[in-house]
Amino acid sequence: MRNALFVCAAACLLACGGSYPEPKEAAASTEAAVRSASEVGAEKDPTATLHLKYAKDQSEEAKKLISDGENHRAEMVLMRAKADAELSLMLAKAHNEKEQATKSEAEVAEQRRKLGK
Amino acid sequence: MKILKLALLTIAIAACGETLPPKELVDARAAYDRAASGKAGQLHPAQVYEAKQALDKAEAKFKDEGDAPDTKDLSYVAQRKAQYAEAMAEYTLADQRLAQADKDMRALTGRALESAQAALKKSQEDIEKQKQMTEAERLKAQNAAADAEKARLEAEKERQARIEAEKRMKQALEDLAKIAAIKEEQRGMVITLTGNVLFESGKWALLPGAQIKLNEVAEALKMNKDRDITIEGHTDNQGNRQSNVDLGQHRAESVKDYIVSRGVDGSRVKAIGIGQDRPIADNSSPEGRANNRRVEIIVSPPKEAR
Repeated sequence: MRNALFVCAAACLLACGGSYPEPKEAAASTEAAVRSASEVGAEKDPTATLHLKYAKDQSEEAKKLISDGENHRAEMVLMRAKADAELSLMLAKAHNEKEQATKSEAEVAEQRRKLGK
Repeated sequence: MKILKLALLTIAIAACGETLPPKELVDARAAYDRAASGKAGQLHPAQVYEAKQALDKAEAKFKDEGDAPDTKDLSYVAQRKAQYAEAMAEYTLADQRLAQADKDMRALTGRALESAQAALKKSQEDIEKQKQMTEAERLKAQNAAADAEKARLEAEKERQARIEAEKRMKQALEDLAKIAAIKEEQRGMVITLTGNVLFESGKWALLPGAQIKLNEVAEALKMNKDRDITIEGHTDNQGNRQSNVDLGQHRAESVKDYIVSRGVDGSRVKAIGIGQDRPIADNSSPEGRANNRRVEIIVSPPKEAR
């Protein structure tokens, strides 16, 4: 009887430790965020590129943690990765917008110069 | 002094007992403060609030678990969220610049368009003016051509009329030559009609037969409208000289009146009594005197030939 209780307790402990679900949703949303940042052209801005690299590295790290069964840690790392991917995306967008604004302002200045003649 | 040193030592020991926040949390706090007090706070308060919530979670975790990995992860995420709010503010500022540039460009394009439209209108007006001028010139040239053609036709008509008149004149002269002597002299064409045919002796009333002859003469003279006509009355040397001049004058006027009555323009006809002064034959014989009794009609040369 004592043996049975011990086995049962051990099984419960194992079950509790391994019951943290695999962060599939977090992985998917992180992957989507990384893809969006890449598509927007994060590589044009050095800071955006850096954060995209962090995101990718952390995604890889999370995959390793998942395969090691460390789902909670994996979820936390994915959270970091997603935050980096989202930041990268916004930095890239801001970079593009600034570039576009500068170009438009130059065109306005050129048009003014032409009309001013 | 010993008491002060003891107090400081006690504080230092107490401080060492409290866990220092991890670098991630310190960075997250700084990032949040920067975002909240900067443009992000004004432009994207919701995003800054999200960063604040993330920071609160990290702070709570730190309070519960100290500098555990989860605290660091949550701090890391909070820092990124604050940076995200700042990046978003930068994006918005750039977007505002872009919108302003677009607005400026639209205004400038409008001005350029107005300017181009004005230039186009002016060009169209110039073209229209040019077209009108060209049309006027074309009409002028057309009128000039029409005038030239008209002048050519008139000249041709005149030429034909002249040829026709010359033909008629020739015919009339040929007819006239049958009843009178015609010769060309320096003073013009001289038509000589014998006095016996025209008048009774010593009189100036035209004989009926004379009128038939003078009809021919009048027809010929009417064809030469631009020539002056002089009618001279000549006599033989019988009788008084003055009475011969008068007789010559009367006879010349009789002829003049008759041909004028037949349509010859009286303003270009002059009647002169010459009398016996310019005989053409010897007055000693009856034939000579008959030849001297005559009327001469002198048709002056054409005006351009004078």
